[in-house]
Amino acid sequence: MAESKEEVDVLVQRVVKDISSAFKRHPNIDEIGLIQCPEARYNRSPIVLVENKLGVESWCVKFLLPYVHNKLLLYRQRKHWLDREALVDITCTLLLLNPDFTTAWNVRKELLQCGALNPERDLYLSKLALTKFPKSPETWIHRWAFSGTGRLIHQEMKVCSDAACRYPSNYNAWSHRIWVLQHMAKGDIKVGLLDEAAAVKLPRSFLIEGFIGQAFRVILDVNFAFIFLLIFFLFRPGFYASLSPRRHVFYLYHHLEDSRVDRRRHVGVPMEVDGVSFPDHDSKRLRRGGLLPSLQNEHTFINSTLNSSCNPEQKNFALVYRKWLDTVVSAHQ
Amino acid sequence: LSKCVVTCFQEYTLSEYLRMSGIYWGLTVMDLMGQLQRMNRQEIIDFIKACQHECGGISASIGHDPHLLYTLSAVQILCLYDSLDAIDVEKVVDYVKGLQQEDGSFAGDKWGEIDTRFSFCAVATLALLGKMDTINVDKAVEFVLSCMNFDGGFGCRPGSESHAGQIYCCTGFLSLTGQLHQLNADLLGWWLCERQLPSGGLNGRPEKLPDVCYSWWVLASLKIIGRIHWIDKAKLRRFILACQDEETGGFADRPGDMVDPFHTLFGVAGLSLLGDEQIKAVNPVLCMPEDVLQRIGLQPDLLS
Repeated sequence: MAESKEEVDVLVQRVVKDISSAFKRHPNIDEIGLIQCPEARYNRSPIVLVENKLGVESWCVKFLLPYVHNKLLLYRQRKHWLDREALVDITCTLLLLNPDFTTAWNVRKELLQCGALNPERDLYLSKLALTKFPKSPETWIHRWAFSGTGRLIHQEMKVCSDAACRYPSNYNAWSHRIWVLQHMAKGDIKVGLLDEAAAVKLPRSFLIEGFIGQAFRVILDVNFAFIFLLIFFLFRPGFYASLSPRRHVFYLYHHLEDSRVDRRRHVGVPMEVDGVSFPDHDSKRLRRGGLLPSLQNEHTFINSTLNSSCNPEQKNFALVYRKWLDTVVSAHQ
Repeated sequence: LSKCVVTCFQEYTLSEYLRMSGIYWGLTVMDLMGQLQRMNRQEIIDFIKACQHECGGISASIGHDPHLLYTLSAVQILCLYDSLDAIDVEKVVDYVKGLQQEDGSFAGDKWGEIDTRFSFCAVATLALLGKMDTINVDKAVEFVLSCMNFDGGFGCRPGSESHAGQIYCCTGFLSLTGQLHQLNADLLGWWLCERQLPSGGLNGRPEKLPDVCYSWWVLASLKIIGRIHWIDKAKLRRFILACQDEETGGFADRPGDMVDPFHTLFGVAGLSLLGDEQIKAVNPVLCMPEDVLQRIGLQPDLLS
């Protein structure tokens, strides 16, 4: 057991090396984690590799973290010199332990800029950090700054869905995903959204937030006709029990209707919104079929839910929805 | 409670990367409790001086890189201590100004992450320094409004889901820039008061757990848009008090969890907005004691 300062230094330098050589020898490590182990029981490295999973025994963190932390800060204050390879190793260890250490990501950004670090390896490190810390804001920011090429879109989407699976309702993962859709996919947004719609293997919260919270906004900006696709998804019985998404669809639908009417009035070009031709006969057919939301339809829907549902949560949602229609919608009509 | 904050200061942990904000959280609680004199003023001012960089920006701690988040925290701390002259204010203004982008948004640092939080940090810093006119305010407003969603709320960038923390930043931003009339206060107010759960606590987004820090982000936003009476205040007060740890006095995110200075400030500031008379009045836009803002002559707009 290392106790003196010299012994600690030797120990941690060895551990930093063990981590970097583990990555060199096993380029397919896909997950990192901490192994609960309060004391060193065997005379062996605290770095354990099992089936592409890299584990760090917890007893060494109290030595390892302060060491790499101080080394990097001394370097940053120009009080201690580190060569590029040492910087890559130290930031790697530091960020796997504490991925919100912004300055360490910044050091890596500088290494990327001067070509001393391979971008693929850097994206790989942030991907691994997200397996243990799926919310880590600084890791998402780092990816945001440096994932610039089209061929990486699918990789980015995969990282986002993995992180959202590990921590449901992951705001940073979603914001990153929407950025990828807007900036990297550009022309492929339709494809991306359709893929997502079809991917029922994603967790429920993923779908709800994806469609309701964010995708809608993209759709609003990109293609009006998509709203109907989503209405079909959401209004299909049993797709999602909560009435809260229904409320958003209702609001959004009328918001869009208003803007369509406005545009027709002002521009005089019927059925064209945001440069996308809108198929009016579809809208008529949906209306005939009672699929499009109107205030009256919504009240009928609420009444039937209140009468037929024995689920108290569902009834509560229905009451809240009614109150919302009365307060927010009726007041503005 | 004061004892808890002092203890937190002595412990150097994983949190050094956000130390400047940690100091702001701790000192603001102490000031709201009328206990600021118990902290080591000179040591803190010297620390802030040592964190200002050549570019004018301020970092979370010595040796870390400068960032808008910690620049605002540092300026807030210096306002509490009435000691803005300890740093090079002109350089801070240049730093903030230099982070504004063509579309009006603000980057958090030189690496360019864009977020409505940084729009708030920029205008809050400049408002405290009395230098709002140095940036393009119209463009900045245009960008924040482009992040408004159909539910009346705001996300971190255009198209991002509404989030109570971002809503606080954007309503605070619109208050400081005199643009609160751009909000749909009824629609936003509805979304915000739907954050209250049966426990009385508030969450930050639909389907999430309640958390004491949202007593601040949600409540302050409701106060700014003049809708604070839309939630059940007594129930929220009970929830916040249940999050206080009897032994240390600090507050946790939820009853029974570990306490920290972040949740302690936002618990105490929430209680202040709810009208607790043991605590000084807090300003809903800047989360600083009202008497400090009166001293520097800053009165952000609120809707009635």
